[in-house]
Amino acid sequence: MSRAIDALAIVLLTAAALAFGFGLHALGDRQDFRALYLLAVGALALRSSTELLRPRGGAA
Amino acid sequence: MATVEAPPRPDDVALEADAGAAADQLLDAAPDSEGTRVLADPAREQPPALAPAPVAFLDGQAPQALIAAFVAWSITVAPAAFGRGVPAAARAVAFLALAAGAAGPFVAAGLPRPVRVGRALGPRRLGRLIGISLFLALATVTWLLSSASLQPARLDPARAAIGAIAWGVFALSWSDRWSLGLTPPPDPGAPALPTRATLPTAAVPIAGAAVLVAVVYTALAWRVRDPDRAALAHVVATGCAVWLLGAAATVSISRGKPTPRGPRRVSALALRSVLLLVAVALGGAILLAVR
Repeated sequence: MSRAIDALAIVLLTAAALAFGFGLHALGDRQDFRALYLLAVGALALRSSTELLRPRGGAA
Repeated sequence: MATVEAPPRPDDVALEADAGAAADQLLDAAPDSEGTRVLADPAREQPPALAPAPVAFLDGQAPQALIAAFVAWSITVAPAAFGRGVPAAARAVAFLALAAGAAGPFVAAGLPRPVRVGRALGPRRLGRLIGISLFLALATVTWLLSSASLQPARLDPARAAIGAIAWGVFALSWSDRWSLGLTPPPDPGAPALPTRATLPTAAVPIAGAAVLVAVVYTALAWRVRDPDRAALAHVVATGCAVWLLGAAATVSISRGKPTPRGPRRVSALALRSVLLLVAVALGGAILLAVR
């Protein structure tokens, strides 16, 4: 279980990094809705990746 | 832990008017075997005592905060408020901002003495509200009212860079010194923290990749041609880079860490975050496809 959580956290971190990158690319291409969507997905993925590794009851 | 009556130190003298009562409740603090100061009874723990107001003002951070606020105001706020074609309201708000920035350090240092704001809002907290929050809010209002002075063509890059440094110094001037706090008492229920000789596997590659991706974000922001959009892109890129670096550091060192409460499981908060991510990702993808 612990390894699965670690792997999922890394996957989410990678997804967040890609989403941020594509979001910035879309922002430069004047695709505002796509940029907003990708940045939001990146933010949520990044938050999920760190929350997964946080100990239970230790949420801040 | 046995405590020994310690001689009073100059920085242990209470700041507020009820300092005497607070000092009575503050338990005798003495250096333990490791040289740190601890409170013998956590139930009677009191806020860290400060020096008397004049001493705290002269020896503390108030002069630095006062000068930093004035410098940041004179470099970034005043030129905008006193430019040509700026309404008088902007000048008035700019003066109010300066007053807030100057009053905050005085209030935080306990000056003037007669000010009593109750137990919930001590002088230090009130000073920070005035010197930081109110100062920044009024500066922002000034900039909004004097937007004609803030056109990119009228901005001097050198002055903008100096202004950014001035605001950084202003932020540092309000930071708390570590010496003001007392070491909290050890938690008897806390588990032992074994030292780790090595980092988890792939910790360095994960952090290194995050640094490279952060650089890529900056490069992506530089490829934006539209000036207004480019400024937004740089702000977003910087925020994303900082956030990604922090999260990558957390992920790289938190993997495989033993938990004191048994095997690791997914917490309810993490589950909610993942479900929200899935919902937003699916909903946004459907909207993108429909558009």
